[in-house]
Amino acid sequence: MGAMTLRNKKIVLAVLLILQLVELVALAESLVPLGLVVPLLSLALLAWLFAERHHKSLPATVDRLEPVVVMVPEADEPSKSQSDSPVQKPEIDLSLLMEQQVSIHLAGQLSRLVSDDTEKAVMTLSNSIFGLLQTSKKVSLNIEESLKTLTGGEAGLDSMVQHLDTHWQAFNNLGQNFDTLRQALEKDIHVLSVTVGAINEFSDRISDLADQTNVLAINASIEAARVGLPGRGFAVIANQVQLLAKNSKTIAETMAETVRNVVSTVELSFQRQTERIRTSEKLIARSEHDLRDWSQKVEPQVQRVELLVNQSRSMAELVTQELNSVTVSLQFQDRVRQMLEHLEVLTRSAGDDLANLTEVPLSGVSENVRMRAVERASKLFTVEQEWSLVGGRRSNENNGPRVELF
Amino acid sequence: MGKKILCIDDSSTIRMLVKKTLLPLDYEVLEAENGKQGLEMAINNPVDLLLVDVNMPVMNGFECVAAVKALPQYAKVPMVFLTTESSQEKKDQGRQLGVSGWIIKPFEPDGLVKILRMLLP
Repeated sequence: MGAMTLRNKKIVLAVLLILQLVELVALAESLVPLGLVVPLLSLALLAWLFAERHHKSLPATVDRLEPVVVMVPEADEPSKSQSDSPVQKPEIDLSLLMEQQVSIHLAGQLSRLVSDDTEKAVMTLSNSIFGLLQTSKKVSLNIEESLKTLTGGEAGLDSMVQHLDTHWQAFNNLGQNFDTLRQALEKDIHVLSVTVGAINEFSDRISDLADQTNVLAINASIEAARVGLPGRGFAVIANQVQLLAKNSKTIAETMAETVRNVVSTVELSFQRQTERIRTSEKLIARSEHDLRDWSQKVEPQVQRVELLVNQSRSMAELVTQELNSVTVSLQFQDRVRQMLEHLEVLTRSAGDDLANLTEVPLSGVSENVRMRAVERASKLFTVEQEWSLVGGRRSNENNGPRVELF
Repeated sequence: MGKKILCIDDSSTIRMLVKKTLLPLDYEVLEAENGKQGLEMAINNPVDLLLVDVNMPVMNGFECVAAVKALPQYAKVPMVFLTTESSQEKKDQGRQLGVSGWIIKPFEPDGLVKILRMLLP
């Protein structure tokens, strides 16, 4: 290939810059892949094909781009060596340049397409992610609220455990009271029994005294009869004393009988009370046991609920942390979009340069040349949207339903 | 509504991410896509804090902050740069303009919220 004009060099440089951007985009893409690799590769290949056609010895790596840029003079003037050598008209295949013009245009359109798709994807993803975050926070708050309601408040588990403990304590006290009462009752029965024993003893003594008085009265009557008439008055007294003794004995026996009856009734009553107290004590003991049992069963549930609340809170925090990294990823994706926009501007500029070089605007490129560029570009197309840039697929293979069961 | 934040950034994605981050925390977020639009919004809608990108079309972040700072009502309003720029030279330039902070993109929502809460207690 002959010596390149400065304008050609500029075009090559533009292409190199595009390639560098493509590499950057690909690098960013590797950080946050969102299915843009294929279109980017298409762009890269289109740009490379263009560069390859223009300069076979183009540096293959971006690392060598900077020296190349430095080597290019700023002013559009011929170099010394060029001025020394005879002027040579560059051999330029215009149709080939026009074909590149179309290719560059397609590359720009592709980058615009990818940029737009990236923006839409980022927006959609952001909405979804932040929506999920809000939902997650709401769910977490609801769980927390529900669990707090379950545990807190008047009817909550915490309160229930406290009530159970209070009631258990009350039952415990009641049991102790009943025990004291039973012991007091037993003591009273004992005192009563002793007292009744003493009364019975007194009764027996009175009865004995009455017997002795009776005997004494009988003897007195006998002695009075023996005396005869003078002892008649004494006999009357002896009879009265005998009657008194009998009455005393009857009263003593009646009293003893009454006391026995009273004691019997009281003892029976005491026994019944004691039985009732024992039954109550058993019931209280059972209730106390049940209350303690419930309290012990509920307490782990309360702890479990507290654990769930903490877990729910931790999960919400985890989701928030994850959101941080997702937000960062989305911004990397936004960088990709920005670079693609820059790529589009560069390709448009390169296209304009080519149009100046060929002196044929894009609209003036013949259908034949356009078709050649489209054919070459479309060989790389793998995504439906790419075909839309060249007026759609020619075959009917994609006209069918998107999902088909054979 | 809580404190009012003006986010000036040419990237709609960044503006949206800022908005999504701050709205649930009861901040009101206004948006502008370049420095000039941001300046006009700041004049017409008094805000409590400005989040400004550096590299923007029409009017860049430095020019925008300088213009807003010159307004008497914004003399004490905190301003923070939210940018991909990370060089000390640019940061110094921002400090000389009197901004309160510098956040390098990509930002983490937690970091952004932390700074805003410090500046707008």
